Amino acid sequence: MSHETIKILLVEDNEADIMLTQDAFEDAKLRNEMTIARDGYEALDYLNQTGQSADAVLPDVILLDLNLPGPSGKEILAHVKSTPHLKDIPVVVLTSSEDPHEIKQIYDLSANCYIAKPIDLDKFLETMRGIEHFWVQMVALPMEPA
Amino acid sequence: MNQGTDIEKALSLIIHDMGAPLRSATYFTNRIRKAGENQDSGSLERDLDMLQQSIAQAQDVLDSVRVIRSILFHPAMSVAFGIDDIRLHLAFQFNGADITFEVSDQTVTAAIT
Repeated sequence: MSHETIKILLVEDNEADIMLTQDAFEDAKLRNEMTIARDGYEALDYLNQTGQSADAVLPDVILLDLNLPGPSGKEILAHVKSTPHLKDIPVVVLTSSEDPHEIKQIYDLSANCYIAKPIDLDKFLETMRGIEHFWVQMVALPMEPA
Repeated sequence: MNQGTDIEKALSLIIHDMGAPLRSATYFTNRIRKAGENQDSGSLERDLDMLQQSIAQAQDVLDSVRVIRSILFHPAMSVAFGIDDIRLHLAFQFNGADITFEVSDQTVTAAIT
């Protein structure tokens, strides 16, 4: 892949999960730049390039927690997938729930994948490294042609 | 509603809501251990605060579970509860769905999102 830096938007309100995800992505082979949105409003501002994020550069991948203060992860997902210039950005949904109804609902909203966050700390780190390996190192992401 | 199904839903929600603070507590405990070894008092203080927050989150979940137990199994009892308790209670009924509220005076209107 010819990507120089992969831009990741992490939408997450849990401080420990933010730090853990950053830890897991720190050792990545490819350069990545992670921006954090700590609630639904910050995420929408960033994606819509409004408010304090007027100069934001759109991410290549979104890691999205579902339970957020303000607009929920489902609302963010629906917004991304129904907005023409955002809809191609892969959205990795991260949540604690393994409820099959919720999983179906999330895929109906066109999420690119649904991952249940493991409770165990080591498994959580392993999962995040797996996400980094797949979405940052293996997958060809949609980019603006040079 | 079938009591077994209620209990199954309740247990799933408890696992869901307790997972994050427990994972956080483990993470910050590890960081505190490292900060102690490195004698990094700045990190130590910050991570202790975060550990306390994680414990408080776990305590909130347990408090909600206690209230819900009162609502589910002692319906005649007068119980004080807040909006978060009602949200969790309704989530039991509606299979873990996210619930949003509009509250006006004494009337509570809930919508499943």
